[in-house]
Amino acid sequence: MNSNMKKFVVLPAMALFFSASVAAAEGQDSIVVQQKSLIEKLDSLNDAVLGLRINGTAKAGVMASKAESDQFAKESPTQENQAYTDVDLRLSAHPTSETQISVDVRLHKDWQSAYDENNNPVIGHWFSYDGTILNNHLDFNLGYMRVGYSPLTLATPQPELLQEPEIFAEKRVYALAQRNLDTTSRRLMQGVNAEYHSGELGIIDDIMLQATGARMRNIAKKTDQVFFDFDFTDRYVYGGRAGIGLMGFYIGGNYVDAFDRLLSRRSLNIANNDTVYYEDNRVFSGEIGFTSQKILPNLPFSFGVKGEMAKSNWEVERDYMVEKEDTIYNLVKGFVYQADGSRDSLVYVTSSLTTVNEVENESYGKLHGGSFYVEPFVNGNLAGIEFDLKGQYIQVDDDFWSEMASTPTYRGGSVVLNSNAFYRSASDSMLMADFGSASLENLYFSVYNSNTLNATNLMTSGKKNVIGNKGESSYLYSRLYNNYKNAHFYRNGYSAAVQKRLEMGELLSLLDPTVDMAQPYGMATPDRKGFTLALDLKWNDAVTLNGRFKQLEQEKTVEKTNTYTEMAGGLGVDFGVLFNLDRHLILQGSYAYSEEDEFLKRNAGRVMAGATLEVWGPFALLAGYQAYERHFGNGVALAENLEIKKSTESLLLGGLRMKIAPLSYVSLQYGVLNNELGYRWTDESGKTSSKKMSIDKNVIVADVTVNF
Amino acid sequence: MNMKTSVFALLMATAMASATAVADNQKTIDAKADSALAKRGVEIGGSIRAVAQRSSFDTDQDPSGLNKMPDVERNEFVSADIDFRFRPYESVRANVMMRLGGGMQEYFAAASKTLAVEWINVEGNLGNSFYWVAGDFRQQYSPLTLYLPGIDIMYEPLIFARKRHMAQKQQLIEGNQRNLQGVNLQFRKELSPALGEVRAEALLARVNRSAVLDFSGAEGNIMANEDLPGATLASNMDKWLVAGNLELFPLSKNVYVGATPMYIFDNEDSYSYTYRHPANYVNDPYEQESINPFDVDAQQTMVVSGRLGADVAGIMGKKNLVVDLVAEYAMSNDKVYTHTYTEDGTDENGETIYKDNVTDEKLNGSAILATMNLGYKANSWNAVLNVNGVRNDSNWFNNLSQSPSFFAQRILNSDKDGNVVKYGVHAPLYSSFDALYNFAPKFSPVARTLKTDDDGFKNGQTNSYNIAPYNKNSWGTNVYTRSQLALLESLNDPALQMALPNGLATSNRLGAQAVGTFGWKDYAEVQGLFTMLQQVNPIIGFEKVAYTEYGGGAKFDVFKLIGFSKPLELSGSYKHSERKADLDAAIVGAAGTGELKSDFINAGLYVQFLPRLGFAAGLQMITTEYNDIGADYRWTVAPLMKGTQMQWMAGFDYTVAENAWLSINFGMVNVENEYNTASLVAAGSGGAVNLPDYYTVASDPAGSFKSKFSQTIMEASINVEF
Repeated sequence: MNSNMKKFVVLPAMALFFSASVAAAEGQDSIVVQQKSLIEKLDSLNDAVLGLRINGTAKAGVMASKAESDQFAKESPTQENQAYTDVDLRLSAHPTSETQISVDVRLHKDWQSAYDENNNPVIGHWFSYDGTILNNHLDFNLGYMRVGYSPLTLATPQPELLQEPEIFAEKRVYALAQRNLDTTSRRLMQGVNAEYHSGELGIIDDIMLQATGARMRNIAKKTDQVFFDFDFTDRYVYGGRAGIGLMGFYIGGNYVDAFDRLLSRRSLNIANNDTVYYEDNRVFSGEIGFTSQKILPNLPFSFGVKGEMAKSNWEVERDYMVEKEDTIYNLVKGFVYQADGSRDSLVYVTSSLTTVNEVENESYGKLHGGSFYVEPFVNGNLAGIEFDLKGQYIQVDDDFWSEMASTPTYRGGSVVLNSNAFYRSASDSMLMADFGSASLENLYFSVYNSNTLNATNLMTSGKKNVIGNKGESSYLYSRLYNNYKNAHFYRNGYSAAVQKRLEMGELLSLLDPTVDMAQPYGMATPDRKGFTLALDLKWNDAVTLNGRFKQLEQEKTVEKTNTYTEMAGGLGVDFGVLFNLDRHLILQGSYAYSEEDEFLKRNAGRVMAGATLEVWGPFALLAGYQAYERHFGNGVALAENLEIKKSTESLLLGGLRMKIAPLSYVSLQYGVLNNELGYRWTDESGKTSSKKMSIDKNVIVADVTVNF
Repeated sequence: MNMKTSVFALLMATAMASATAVADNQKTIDAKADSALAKRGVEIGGSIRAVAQRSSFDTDQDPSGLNKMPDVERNEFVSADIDFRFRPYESVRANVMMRLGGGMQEYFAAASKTLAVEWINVEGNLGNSFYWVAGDFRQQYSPLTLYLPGIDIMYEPLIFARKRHMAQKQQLIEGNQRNLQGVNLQFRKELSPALGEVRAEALLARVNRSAVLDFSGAEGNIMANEDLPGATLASNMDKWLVAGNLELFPLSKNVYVGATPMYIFDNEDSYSYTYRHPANYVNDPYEQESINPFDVDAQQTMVVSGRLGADVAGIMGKKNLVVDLVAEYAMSNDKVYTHTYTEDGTDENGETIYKDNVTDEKLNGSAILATMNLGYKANSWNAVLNVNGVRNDSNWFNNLSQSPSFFAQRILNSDKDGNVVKYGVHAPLYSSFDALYNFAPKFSPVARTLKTDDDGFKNGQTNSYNIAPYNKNSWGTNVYTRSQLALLESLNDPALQMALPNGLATSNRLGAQAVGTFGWKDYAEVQGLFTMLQQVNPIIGFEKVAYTEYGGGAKFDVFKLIGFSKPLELSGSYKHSERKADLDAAIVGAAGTGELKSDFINAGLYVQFLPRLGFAAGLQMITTEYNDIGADYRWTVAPLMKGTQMQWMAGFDYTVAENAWLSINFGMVNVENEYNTASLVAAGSGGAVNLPDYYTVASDPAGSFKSKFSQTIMEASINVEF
């Protein structure tokens, strides 16, 4: 793997470079053909290495955030520094040329030399066995996997941020990756997945079959310690798909069922005041589609339509403890005197009433709903302009629920930078605890620490049962670890957890509309009816233009019909390509606006601008600016006495990036983040007043990234 | 898999079909070529240490078994450091060192094993002149600037030196380099023969971070469960070090000019708080308090050093002559704080509130180190005299050069005096040899009650550690604060750290240390040592303390002398250390001299009688004696007056290379400590932290207790570095 690997990889790569420069002298078409050949060879080099490979990314650097706010308490810290070395090691083994075992481990150290940090663990981050077998007809995944079916059955809603500058995009991707997430619409799961494709069979384009099974949650195994990642029962999902393509037509079906396993929970007791809910969510959808590309391949454009119709079934039952009277019968030994004075033994039965607590199970609710969408599209290349136009009509019942397609990965609501700060007033503390920091902070910044386990982060429960008993264990201080053990902690606005419907209900009002005000749960958002339009234009790879429009109505779950309107436009120009320079000089920007006319009467506007300028040799200047303003017309109540009215944010981030080796960079960035919240607060005397909270953060990021 | 295939792509296609432009392809090729080039291979190295050890404690002084803790400690562990160096031949590299730890058992699977991150960094170079590293790195500049002071033991027997080597390697110590985490830049360029070489270096390191630690832990504290300044290593603020180093070696590198500025500061804006239950009472509400409420002051220390040196013999062109002279002058400017408390009203319970009035001043200190090497190296013999002259005033402060690598700990049989092992050198069963040579990376102590239910563990906690695994080792590269160094000063082992406990950067010292060495090929070597130092400023109550050390030693390889290829090495040394402090009659009102004398004897034998198979034996003895005025009352009312420690060990080894061996050894540590217990006897009851818990006043009518105990150690060790 070491020196042999070096010879194996480097020499062919150098040869490829050489051939590339020779090829450049030939005609354009010939160059393209040769380039494709090179790409294939490089792919082959990168992928088809049998045996064990170790690759990874190492990053070391500093992120310092200095905050200013009139709302900080006098003694509040105003600065928080991250200084760390972080390595993601990716081990891939190819037992055969068709399959691969992937194991990712993560190593992290926060810089300090003042005390020993023994047992700073290497954490497992990804384990999977994947492959393409049966003559490339069957793809399979075992372990960690990302799987998507359709937008109404199994998918992950993602924010669409038009013309997001590279400096922002790379930060978002990095934050997502810390939680194993990516920017695709596939969902992260752990289980098994198999997907069969027949390929072309006569006039049939493809026959596809897919089956998936995963465990979504794991019942707590150690009930006397509190963890963040457990549930009171196991939750599983299974699903399947089938489809056939014929002459550009497609027809298929999807089925997904996510359910709680009752028996797992019942292996443990619950307290008398506990109630545990079990949700079962089944969704079936049918898909049809057509594209002209197959039957009219010579047109300069292609057109088509796709559509999906889904039915959902959501059922909840619950276990709770009831008090019942029970009769207890006892056998009692006694005796009776006989006429002759002797005694005879006998046994007689007594009964008594007692109270016992038993688990009662009952159905708690059922919902059946439907949804569908139709999406015509046309795309192609006319007069050198690439275009892609899509329209969509969508209708989702208020009773429709598709859990596996609803939970977004972006949650927001956390305090990422300067989390050590504390506030002058109770209202500001509540605001930060419940509403969190700016959504721009949540979108783009992340903190990852390896901390010593101590009394403040080792939470112990006072009772074996942790549903109803949240008191700390009196044994807390005798369960400490001598500052000997570390654990890894993440802080960012993303989560891979899939929320159940009852849990989502609580999240709804808090969900950051950064994701999508009109469809916070993606296309499966219940109680929506309306249409969307999307247009993308590209000229010469140099100029890109995007337009979006969406209008959706919410009727059933609100008093008055609530109409969501969203519009967005973006423009990006690569002057490097435009003027035929051998570098990218990209300027880009976008504006997006969303509003609802009733219900919370929110509206939000986002301005985004950025530059990616490869100025000289290995140096690139990156810059981005976003201003984001949200109005909560009817207010969002965080508590009875706190109502948020307005949020204004801006983030300016700029910096220099230097390439120091293949896939390795030194980066220095400076950012200014402003966050202002307007809210109404009712104090203890009942007096209501408008208040404002404003925090400015200056962020310096300096790091070096090495890929190997 | 998933949505990637043609049929579904047809339905889900949202992106426009890309024109196959040359530029697009070129970008792809570049990215893929980068990816291919990034896989430049991996080199794997590392080391393995495995120890199986049994230490049996014995004393005749506890006939009724007052101390019920186990007499025997068994440590069985394997520690494997696996070192991955990715892209080893590139200008950019990533290094990862993982430590696999396991106890030797097969009964249960996971609990005893650890996989820890010990060392990670990225590094690279631009051309041949510029090198950079970010993450973990080691660095030393000079003894007064950036340095890890250690301990020298003259002709330490090999059998013990190997144990110390393993203990230090476990803590990743490499010589006198300090382990830091941050960014280190180094530029080296050969200018011309006249101008010589220039070295320009700079580093940024975070020395501590604002993070909560438990005060009760064996690790993370100098003294667990004490509310003294310096007791905990937790920091309220991020502590940073910024340093530069410029060195020039003109005249064909025969002259040396160097300058080092350093700034060590706490980032006051990062001062953070945590929430704790008052007095660890879980039912009381959490209260906000400083992460480290015992050491709240922010460090601000500026250190500037200038160095001038010459290889006079080199200038003269005399190859055999050794005449090196280096002089270093360093200044420190450190912000120190004074806290005075005044009454400031009462709280709701009527309790007086005290206001903390803080004033600060800048203390300017200076340090001078002059080093001279004089000697002659002939073909068959060499003689070199090394002299270090120091003049470090009492205000001189630089925790990056003064933090020692050795902080004496109780290691073997620590369950026996577990409650007080945090007093280290003052713990009743302490011995210098135990602290120097033994270690246990994951020691699981027993609870004081020997019960294993929740209540047993709760009641069985000790004042020195939690009942949970921890790393027992006296060695480390921690950077201590001013108050931590002050606390450590009271915990120094006088037999090992008397004259210069913080190395050549020890503050308040004036004098010199000379070491003369005479070598005869590789057959024999003789060394002599003489140190004479005194304080620059006396401490209150005493005149200036004087430190004297003298001694000598030799090693002699009999087999090599008679022409065998295998070694038969005999070695031995003797060192006398002494501290004298006259009372300041004007303050104390009496005359007298406080004295501490210590003698350290080493004797060693190593012979290889078959290829790679050898026999090693070693004997060490330390006697330490205080007079009445010199006795150390800082942690006890019953001070140690005289201590005699002896250690011997012998065993067989199989040696593959210098740092690759397998050995089986047997040895004993015998300790006799005599304490002045008069005040305890006068009081009629009580104990002291430095007396064993089986000591009773009833059995000590004379007020002088002689504690005797022994440890019998049997061990097998494997050390392989590859």
